[in-house]
Amino acid sequence: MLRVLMLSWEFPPFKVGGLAAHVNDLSQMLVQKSLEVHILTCSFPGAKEYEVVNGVHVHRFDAYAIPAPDFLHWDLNMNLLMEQKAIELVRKYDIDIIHAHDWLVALAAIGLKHLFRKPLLVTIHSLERGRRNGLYNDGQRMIDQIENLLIQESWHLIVCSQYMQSLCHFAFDFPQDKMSIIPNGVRYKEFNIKLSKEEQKKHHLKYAKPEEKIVAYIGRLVPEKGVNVLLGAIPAVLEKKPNTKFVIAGEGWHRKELERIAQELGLNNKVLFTGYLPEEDFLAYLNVADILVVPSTYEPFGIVALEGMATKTPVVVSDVGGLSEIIDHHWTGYKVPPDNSHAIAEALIKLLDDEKLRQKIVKNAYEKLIHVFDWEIIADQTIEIYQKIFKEWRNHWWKTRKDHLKYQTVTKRKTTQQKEKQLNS
Amino acid sequence: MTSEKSLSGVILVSFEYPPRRLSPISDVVFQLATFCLKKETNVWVVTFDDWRSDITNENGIVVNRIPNHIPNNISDLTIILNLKCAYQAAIAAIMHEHQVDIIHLFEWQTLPLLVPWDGNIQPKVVYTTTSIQISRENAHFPYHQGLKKIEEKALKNVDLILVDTDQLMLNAIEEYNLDPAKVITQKIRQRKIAPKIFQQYLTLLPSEYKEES
Repeated sequence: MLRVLMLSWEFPPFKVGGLAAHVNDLSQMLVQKSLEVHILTCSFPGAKEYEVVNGVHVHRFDAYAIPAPDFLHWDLNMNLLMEQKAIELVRKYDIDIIHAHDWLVALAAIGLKHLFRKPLLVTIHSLERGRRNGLYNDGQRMIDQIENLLIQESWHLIVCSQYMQSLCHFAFDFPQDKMSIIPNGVRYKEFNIKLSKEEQKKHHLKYAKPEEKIVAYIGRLVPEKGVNVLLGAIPAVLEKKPNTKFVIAGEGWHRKELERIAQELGLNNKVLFTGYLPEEDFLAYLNVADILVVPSTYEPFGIVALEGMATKTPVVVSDVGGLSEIIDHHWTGYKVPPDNSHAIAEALIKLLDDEKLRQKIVKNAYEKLIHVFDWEIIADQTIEIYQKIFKEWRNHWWKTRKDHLKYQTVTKRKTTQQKEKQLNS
Repeated sequence: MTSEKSLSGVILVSFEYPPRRLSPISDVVFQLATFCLKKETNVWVVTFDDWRSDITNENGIVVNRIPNHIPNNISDLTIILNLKCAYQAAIAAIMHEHQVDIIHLFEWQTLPLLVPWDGNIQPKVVYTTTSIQISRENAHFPYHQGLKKIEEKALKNVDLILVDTDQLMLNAIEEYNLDPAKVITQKIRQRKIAPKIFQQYLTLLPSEYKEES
């Protein structure tokens, strides 16, 4: 049985982005398929230092033990503490593979790799140059270089889309044959809830008047999510479809600016900023939404589109990054050019008008979910990579003395050294 | 008296090594490396250089000038935290292939290495310094508090600390609540420092390693 140590700075219930959910869902499915999975993640007040969650061993450490003036310093300090705890875990559980998620754990992962000579598998969920649409200061350049180092140090790299594969290949000269594309998944069965008419009415009223259709957004309020582009589309939609309400769910440092834009456009009554949605309202929100919009200008994958597909909500997405690959235009959703309010408005009007088109999209999207984005399929693909890299490593000379003895490998290097000795003697 | 031959290998880890000189430490590391070699002890120097990255054999001393993978940084602290990866890769590569008895680190720039190790590595660890955080800068701000905490955690994992002055020894013991037995004054600017440090190495080895001469 393979023993995997996953390094992730976030893990439920501590969630910042989609990474926590990804690591959680993947690890649980891997355990169901008989792997031993250990997650090492940052602690938070009240969290247990060690617990087993649905078969997954979750280890936490105090990530704030070294003071830091800002997030970047905090992260690098955190890596020292993470590595300290990981050394203990690798020794205790005789870990076979180290699996790191994103640059935030890069330094700990690379340190462990060299100390224990274990294969390092890396999943890159996004890249700094994409998140910020360029690199504009030393902090961003530093993150970019850390990402590059992590990628180069990996035995194998997992990316979530063709877009990310080509970005890693062209930005960092990383060979294509050391990369695998495994998409993110969604627990679509859990999203498939049926609200009673009363519940539907109750939840609808939280966001809009009974006669209004709801166009929903959910996600972080940061520039690369393109909410400002969506706001730009609203006047044109309202002109044709006045009974439409736009609901923006989520938080982020860009929120004030977005609220200002909405005010300047005179949309106060037609746009609702909800802030963070409580966990229990999340599924109901997507259920009462008539259309979900994902207007990102950069999106390595776009898991929110899958969530919309899972709740059978028609999805309009920007034709960027991973979203381009999730959605087949006019078949499993609608794709519009990025940064184009006019195109979003047109797509929304078309979908709001055409009930049959909405039904067709929803049906096709759900079928694609089952066949491509099921966690079971994703776990199988991940296990295949684990087995491949473990086999490669087992037959490779790059090991500790202990592992050489364990796997009884006569390495190429040693054979060469012996031959040299013989020649010399 | 003990025989110096009992040492198999020493790794010297320093932010500077000739021809790069930022302080007297650079030459101390060189003298020590040369002395180790004279005593038939394998010696590796793992160091950083602004303008070169290579592994060279300099008259028997294997010098690994680590690569700087992350040249853009936002502070001195991020520089040393990011360099830690390359230091560790170089040290680990030596340890996996050779018998190493002592890892000797010099000055605060190498301290991040020691935090994760947490006393969990086989060779004994020696640290030489001419300052501690409170003697360099105050620790009123999170940035400096971070440096101080790293120093505190690192020094807990060292087997022997060689400090430049008696006052520094007292400050380090008091500030970090260190075992006084493992903090020793070893003046940097003195002649023939290398044999003295080498002698200190021998005191760290288990008794069966030492041969009576």
